[in-house]
Amino acid sequence: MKNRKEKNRTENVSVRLGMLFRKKKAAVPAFLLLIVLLCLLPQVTSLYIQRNLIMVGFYMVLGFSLNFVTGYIGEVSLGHAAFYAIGAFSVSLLTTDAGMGYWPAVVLSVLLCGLFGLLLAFATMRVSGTYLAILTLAFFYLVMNIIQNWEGLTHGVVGIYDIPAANIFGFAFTMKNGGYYYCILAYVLFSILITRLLIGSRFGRAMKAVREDPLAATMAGINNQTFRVIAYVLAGMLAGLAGTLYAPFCGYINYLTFTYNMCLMILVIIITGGRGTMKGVIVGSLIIAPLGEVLRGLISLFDSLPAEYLPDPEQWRFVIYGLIMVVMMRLRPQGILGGKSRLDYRMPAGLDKKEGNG
Amino acid sequence: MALLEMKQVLMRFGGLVAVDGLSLKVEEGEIVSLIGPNGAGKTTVFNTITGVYEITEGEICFGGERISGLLPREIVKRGVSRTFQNIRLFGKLRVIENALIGAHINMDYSIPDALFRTKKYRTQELTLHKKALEVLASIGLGEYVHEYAENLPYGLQRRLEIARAIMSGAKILLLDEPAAGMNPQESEDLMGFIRSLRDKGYTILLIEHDMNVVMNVSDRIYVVDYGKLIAKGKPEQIKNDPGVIRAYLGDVSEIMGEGA
Ligand SMILES: Nc1ncnc2c1ncn2[C@@H]1O[C@H](COP(=O)(O)OP(=O)(O)OP(=O)(O)O)[C@@H](O)[C@H]1O
Ligand SMILES: [Mg+2]
Repeated sequence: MKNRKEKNRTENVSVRLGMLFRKKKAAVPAFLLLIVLLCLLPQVTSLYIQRNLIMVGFYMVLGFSLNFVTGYIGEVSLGHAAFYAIGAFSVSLLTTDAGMGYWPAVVLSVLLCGLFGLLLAFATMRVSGTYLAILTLAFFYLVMNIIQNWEGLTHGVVGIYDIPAANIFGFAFTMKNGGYYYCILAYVLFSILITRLLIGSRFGRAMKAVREDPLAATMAGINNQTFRVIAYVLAGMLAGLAGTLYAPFCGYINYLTFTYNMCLMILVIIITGGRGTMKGVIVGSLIIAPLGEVLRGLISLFDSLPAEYLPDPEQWRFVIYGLIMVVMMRLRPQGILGGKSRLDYRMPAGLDKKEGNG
Repeated sequence: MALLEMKQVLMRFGGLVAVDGLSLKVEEGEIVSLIGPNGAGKTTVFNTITGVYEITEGEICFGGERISGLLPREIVKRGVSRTFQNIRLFGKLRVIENALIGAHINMDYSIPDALFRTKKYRTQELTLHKKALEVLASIGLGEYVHEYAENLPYGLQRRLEIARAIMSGAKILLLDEPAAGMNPQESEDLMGFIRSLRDKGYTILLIEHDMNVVMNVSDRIYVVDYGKLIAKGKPEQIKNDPGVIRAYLGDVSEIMGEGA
């Protein structure tokens, strides 16, 4: 009984918080304050923390990207890191071998990733469920194998060295000057913005309709394939954008930089946080992305033990992801913040308040 | 010219002929019912009209133009919309979102319009939100606009199906057993609502098992059994048609004389 009351209270708090954020007067300053705080963060944290924050940022963008396909269209993609890899390799090759400037290379790479998104959408047009998941996985291995074996273009197993730093107006990004941090922060905000703008529109509604009931969607006059393609292209471009920053951030990439584990991690992020929600992606990446580091930290507490007794954090990470997935699927399949909102639907501006309350 | 016309339509599933040479006409502004025992092929008729199945033989025309052979989404755009017997709402979406998705074909703004919240975007969204609220209120869902569709009780889900179909702006609505699962009061309300739709200019083709609804609301009735037309006419004629009674009750000669 008491427990129930407690739960009700927290629900009320979250509802009130949500309502607060819907009031322009409160939301705008709160949002600005949050941005200012996020901007100040690298000034007060160590490079180690900043590095982790940047990684969270990369995974957040990847999460928003996959969310279009898995969250809104409802198709599980097991190969999402392929777009990340294509973006990274494309920008690296364009800025090194082709000697192109960074931003033109980014634009080209993002477009290329969109094209691959289109390809994947067409390749998976008539399949669904498990077959689709397997096809997306095949897509990942196909891309990685091409990267590994097309020596003339991608330098094969050697990889690409000396990728020039990303820069803006000749001002090169480093960890020290926070360039990468601010850039990925901007990308995260950009992802949030386009998700919000699109998902609130007919495009988002149509995607969700396709997810909920493809036949009913068709009967409402929706061309299901159009919206699948839009979602895949957007997802490809967004993941590619993350890749174009990740390559110069690493400075060196090869075919082993992008792994199947990465694909899984992106999926775990949105499933943990809540498919088809924005707050789910944010919370999911905040929890999942730093997990490897947390584990490393925990294991290093036992440093005094002989090394052969210590588990390899890189390997154990995935045991934990697996556990998280199982627990989530059993207890909260909609994700931590997924499922139904307790807030009212947001009517468009200009609608009479009274009408909105029906 | 009839608004909707089926000419000698035959629908075969392997060895089973679900619709067998059916011809049917619906004039503009009419309420026409399609009745028949379970498994008679009524829902299949809706599926052929709306393009879910490609018909084996025959032709279906809407507004004088052939629609058989078109894709379902093209048929909706021509002005034919439907509800489903086994409710197919977008359960995890809100009532108003369901209604807005029904209006999908009435929006044509582009991705850039949505991203930059252009005037075109704002006007279309505002207009259709207004229309959705209006339609939902008129069908008695006014206080549920924010609710999630799957949380609605069964009867209200049926109404939402109708609301979603109306939102397409279709000329003709195909309603597949809208009164199923409703109590007598609810079906009474539904009848009133269906009549009010006709008064607003909609044409209605109705499948319904509730004879009270059918007899009261229909201008004309088509009766099918085993995919074949066995009777057509005004409610009074159908009520007393021996063939119809036989189809519904089996060959029970004693009650044949008693009428319905
Ligand atoms: N896709 C299909 N494949 C094979 N047979 C089908 C298919 N759809 C319908 N049928 C068959 O066609 C016949 C007519 O079915 P239909 O659903 O149209 O009947 P109905 O008149 O709507 O019945 P009810 O009153 O129970 O809704 C049934 O025998 C059914 O099994
Ligand atoms: Mg039926």
